[in-house]
This record gives sequence, structure tokens and C-alpha cells, in this order.
Amino acid sequence: MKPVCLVVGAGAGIGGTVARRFAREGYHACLCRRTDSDGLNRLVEAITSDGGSATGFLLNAIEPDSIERRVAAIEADIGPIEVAVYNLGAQIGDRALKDTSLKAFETGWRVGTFGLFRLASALCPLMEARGKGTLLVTSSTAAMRGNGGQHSHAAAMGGRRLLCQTLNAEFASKGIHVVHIVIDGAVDAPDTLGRMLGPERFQQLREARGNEHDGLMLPTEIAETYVHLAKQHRSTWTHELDLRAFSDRPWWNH
Amino acid sequence: MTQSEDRGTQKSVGDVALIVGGGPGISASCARLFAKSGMRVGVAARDPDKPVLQNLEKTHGVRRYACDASEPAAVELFFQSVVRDLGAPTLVVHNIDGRMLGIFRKGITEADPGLALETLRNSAFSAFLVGQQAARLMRENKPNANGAKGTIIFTNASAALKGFPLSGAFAMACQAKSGLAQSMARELMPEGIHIVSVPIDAAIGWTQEDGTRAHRLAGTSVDDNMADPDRIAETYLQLHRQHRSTWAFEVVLRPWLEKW
Repeated sequence: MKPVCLVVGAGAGIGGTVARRFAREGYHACLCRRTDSDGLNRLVEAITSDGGSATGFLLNAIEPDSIERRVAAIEADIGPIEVAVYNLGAQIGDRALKDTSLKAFETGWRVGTFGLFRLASALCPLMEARGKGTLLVTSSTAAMRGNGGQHSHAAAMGGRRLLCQTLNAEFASKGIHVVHIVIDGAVDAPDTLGRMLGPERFQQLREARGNEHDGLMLPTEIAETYVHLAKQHRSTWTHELDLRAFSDRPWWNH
Repeated sequence: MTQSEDRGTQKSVGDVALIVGGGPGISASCARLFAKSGMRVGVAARDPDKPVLQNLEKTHGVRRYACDASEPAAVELFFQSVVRDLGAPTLVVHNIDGRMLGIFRKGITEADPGLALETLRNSAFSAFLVGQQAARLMRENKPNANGAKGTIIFTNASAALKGFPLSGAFAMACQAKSGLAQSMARELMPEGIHIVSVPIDAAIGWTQEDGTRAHRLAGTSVDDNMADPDRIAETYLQLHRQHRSTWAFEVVLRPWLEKW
């Protein structure tokens, strides 16, 4: 039975690419996303045609019991989840306080923080019993500093970062490696940045900063570091990591 | 610069790696791993005749250099020799702790000012000198397949992250080194030179002759409770192989059992 790499938030950017990379490492990739079963199937097919194995699931992380049931079903039907990647974004664009509804703030928290808490609650006891496991948590600039208009997002991601720290404080010594990875820049990802900007502006950005300029972070390259983190020996773990393009200013210089 | 195949198994033929500060820990592990992955490797130390370094030369073809890295002229000369012998460096690791024996566990009122200054010179100032020479040479390098002209890694310590009591001189040195790394990163990363600061937040236990791992003061490593320098070297190599679209700057390494 192959070990499982579970990716919560598997679009065509970081999530899907990381799933594919772990499949190449010999994991069975379980890809979860909220919508677009066609897109999900394409990602699964890409992995299987690459010689890997994968299963796709539609999953609404806000729905009660959705994450918990998915974890239990994967463990029962497919195999032990050795690596979990929590890759749900909660970016809703810059909104002034008056334009940030209570609902929007709460949704940000449910996706950004509470979903990770629920995943950890479902998964950590299983990993603890096995004495090992890796939880890779994609995060963002907003986890490090609150920029204008980021009320919902920054609060959610700040919570995500500190949740990772407390998870580590409890579970590192039980063999569970939790990593909070700050993606400190724009990612060349059609399902997130592309959707936020629209096809035309996304293409312009790619031409100005992406492609041969390497100023947009490439999911394939991010995936290399995710795999490295999952392979780190327990004598030398990294718990927090920033990644950014060489040409970008880091969050503390903004 | 687009797709990458598995970075972990790449060969690094054509790379020239320099490790400044050579002993039995991180530097020896890096030298072995870098040499194994195909790089030409040089190690600089005040005393290049230490048995561990002689051994590296025998087993891994590592070139040894005598250099007091806190002396500007010596550092310049060392880099000139390296360029002549091995070629322009593409990976430079500054791996000097810098503490003088008499400065360990000294309170602020007892610490000897001369030793404190020596510690700063050995650590932060030598990092500046090494970084300066490395940057001058790397600027002239052609970008590799990852879009990088080179990587400069500064090994650092817990003291870069937090000030401990009885450790004022080392705290100054480590924080200075960390500030230097940040500044160099902002200047050089946009030019394609990858700067990394790696605080090792733990005791390092290297493999002894009997196969156990141990630290001079902390004793024998039990259950991987100390950082294993061979594993540290693996992360250094991965950092060197990162693509310029996704560079890490600060990577803290600590054992699973370490509190933080």
C-alpha cells in the first residue's frame, strides 16, 4: 500500500503541482478542491499519465465534517496519510474595513485557520499513533504582516501561522513535522492569481514579470522545496520558511 | 528557466564550492556531500592541517587552504588562489562560529572586551570579508540553469534569533551576521546571487569514531536530539539548487525534540 499525500486545495497552481510531485516520489496523491470537477480530473489524469497514482475529491472545507470524513475515508480505503498539504487560500483582494462584511471575515477565518485546525484534529492523532507524519501548510505574506485592505486575510493567515507554531510545540516531539511556508510573492497559478486578475491582466503580468523573468513563483519549483521539507531528517527540521522570487522585496522591506 | 527534474538527484558538475571555517562538523559534512555530488570543493581554515581536513583531501579530493578569514588581505588572497586552482566559486559557505574560548558563559560585567572584539572579528567581520570577495566574483559568473550566478550561505546560531544570558559577545556577532545577510540578500538577490542565512537552533552532534554522534559540551546525541551535520548539508545543497523564482532566505534548522 502506498503512503498517501493529501492535498487540501488542489488547483492548477501550488496544490496540484505539489500533488503531482509527491506522486512522483511514490505517494498516492489525494487531491481535494471545492469546485470544478473537470479541472480536478485533469490534474488526476496528468498524475496517472505521469506514471503516478491519484484520486480526486470535491471537498468544501467550510462544511461541517467534510474534512474529518474525507480523512477517515482515505485512511480506510486508500492508505495512511503520511504527508498532508493544507493549501487553501483565503485571499479576497484588498477591501477597506467598511467593505469587509462580518460574513467575509468569518469565511476567511473558516478557510484560513479553522480548516487547518480541523485537519490537524483529524490527522494528528493518527500520525501520532504511527510516530510520524508531515503537515505542510502553505501560507502568505499576510501571515507576517497586515497590509491595507487585508483585514480578513491577514487575521486568518496570522492565525494559521500561530496555529502551526502551537501544533509544533505539541507534536514535533511526537514525530509530526509541521511547516508553515510563507509564499511571499505572486505565484504563476491560473486558478488563483489568474482568476483574481482575469485572463488579460494575468497574461500581461506573466509577460512583464513571469516567463523568462522568473519574477512569478513557479509551482514546479515550490514543489521541489515542499518535497525537500517532507524529506528532512528529524534531527534537522525547518518549521517556518519564506519563499520568494529573487527579484522581489521580502515582506519586512515593504 | 522552466521545468525542473528532480533536484535531489541532480549532479553539480561545474560547481565550485568553498567552505570557510573548517572542522569536523557542518564544514566536513558539506565538503563530503558537495564533493560527492560532483563539485570541486575547497575548505579554508586557520589550521588546514587538522586531521579532519587532511582526511577530506584524501577521501574526497577536497583542497585545503590556510586562511585567517578575519584578515582582509588573507581573504582576498585566498579567493585568488581558489580561482586559480578550482575556478570561480558558485557556492560559498561561511561557517565560522568565532567564539574565543575565554568568552564562553561570561556575564556582561566579566566578559573581556578584547575577546568580545575578537569574537566579532572572527564571526561577523569575516562574514563581511568572505561575502565581499564572493560577491565580486559571483557577479561575473554566468547564470546557471536555475538562473543563479551563485549561492552564499551563512551558517548562524540560535543567538541570531534570541539573546541568551551570558552570551553578549556571541549575540552581537550572530545578530550582526544576520543583518549582513539580510542586507546582502536585498542587494544581490535581484542580481541573481542567492543569499541564505541558516541559524542552527540546536547543539550539533557530529559522528564520532565509535559511530555515535556527540557535542563537546552537550554530550552524546540520543534519539536525534541534536542536529546531524550530514543532514544540515543536505539542506544546504537543496538551497543551492533552488530556482531563482522561489528562493528561501532564512532557514532555521532544529531537531524535532528541540523547544523553540
